[in-house]
Amino acid sequence: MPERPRVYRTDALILTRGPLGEADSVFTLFSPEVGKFDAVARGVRKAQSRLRGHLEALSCVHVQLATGRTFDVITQVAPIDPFRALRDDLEKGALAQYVAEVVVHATAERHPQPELYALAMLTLSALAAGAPSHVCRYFEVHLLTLSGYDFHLDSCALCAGRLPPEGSSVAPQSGGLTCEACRGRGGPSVGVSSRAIKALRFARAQPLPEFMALRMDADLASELEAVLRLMVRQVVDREIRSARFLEQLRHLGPAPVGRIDEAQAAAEAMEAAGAPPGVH
Amino acid sequence: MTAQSTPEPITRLIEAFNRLPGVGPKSAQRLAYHMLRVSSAEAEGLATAIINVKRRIRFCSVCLNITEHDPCGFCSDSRRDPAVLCVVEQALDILVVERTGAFRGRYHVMHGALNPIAGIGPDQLHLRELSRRVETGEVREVIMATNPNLEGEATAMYVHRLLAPMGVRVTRLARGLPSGADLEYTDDVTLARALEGRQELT
Repeated sequence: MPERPRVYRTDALILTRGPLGEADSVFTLFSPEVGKFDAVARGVRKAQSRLRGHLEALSCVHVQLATGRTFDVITQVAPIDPFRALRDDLEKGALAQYVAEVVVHATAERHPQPELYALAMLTLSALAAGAPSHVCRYFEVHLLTLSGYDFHLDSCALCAGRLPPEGSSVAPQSGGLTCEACRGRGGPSVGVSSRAIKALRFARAQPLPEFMALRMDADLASELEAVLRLMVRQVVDREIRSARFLEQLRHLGPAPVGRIDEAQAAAEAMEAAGAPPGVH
Repeated sequence: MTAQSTPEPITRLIEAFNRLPGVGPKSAQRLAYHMLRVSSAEAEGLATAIINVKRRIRFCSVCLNITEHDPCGFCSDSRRDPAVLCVVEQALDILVVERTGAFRGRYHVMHGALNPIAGIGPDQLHLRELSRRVETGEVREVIMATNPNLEGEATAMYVHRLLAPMGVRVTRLARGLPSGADLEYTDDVTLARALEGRQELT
């Protein structure tokens, strides 16, 4: 293995952030050139840190790193796209975290996957720009392909026979759709409607804007979500934890009108309290 | 190797120290050998202090702050305004807010922040207790004093969604320039927030 340079620069998507020691944080970065890797930022939890403002999960940055023993150390950061919209909206943020978690589990350490990077960036940008939640389905369909999983959508994955309009099911262990006759032969499977199959094919064949424009009712959206969750589970071989949070959010009911009032509330409160001394 | 040459009680102590946050194997060894040198009284003092913390400290049944007496000092202090709740991620944050001397309401400790990737969802935070407090109708305002990072913000938004239907006002700490900061060295994100949260000079 060639010796790694002492200092290097790269673009990176910050997938996760966790505390380390007293004031450091450890980040999982995903870079088109390096792949997924962990890096540490020293003192970044302190108010004086100059790196602090830009280093946040789900933002895209340009970083300079120094090669370290256990972790590479982040020495400089410049923002590329902070994806602020993902932080200001609970649903968007939760979907983006789901995407980030899938990327974490679908990638190997320091194994460059520029196409997956591009896909993740495309998905997060779309989410930040207000895309409907089914852009995550597009992400999943293409993630499967990029992970080397050939999702059989055009014929039965077991007998290669034609798929009848009804009665098909999806069997993750067999590699995709199976016809009625093969049902149950290729591991656990769930039934799938013909319009869901069409939507999956559409997602695979068309660019994202076309797929986003697809009108999707709640039934179809949740069917696709369930089918792809199974498939993704097969590829990453574990439960995606953020998916549970997405469920919980759904139970919470719609967003109340207006956002949390910040400055206005502060001003009002100070007025009401007669602005006590010492509070600025 | 060490297990054979070092007496068993010492290896056990080293292992125990090693499990503490921020203490590596070398520090753990140093601490363990230090404990050998100190007087018995001092060592027992440390041991009892640890035992007492575990035996006598519990969570306040109202705000989940750590306390010796239930309800805790803040919850039983009648001079503090029960209509304003400051919601914090961890008990330590109460001390930080208290130090400002600018808050005279009561607290609620969630013991964490939403972090779906790490498996910390709403059920892992003490939000049910918070809902119950707000449901009594006694609370007028809930101040979310969570960290201004992804998890903290998500938690603030989640709690807002959870409590807003109960007719309580949910606010969050303003974000902006720290006192004594230099505008030139401020990062864009913070400055943008500071602009949003600007205040009229009165």
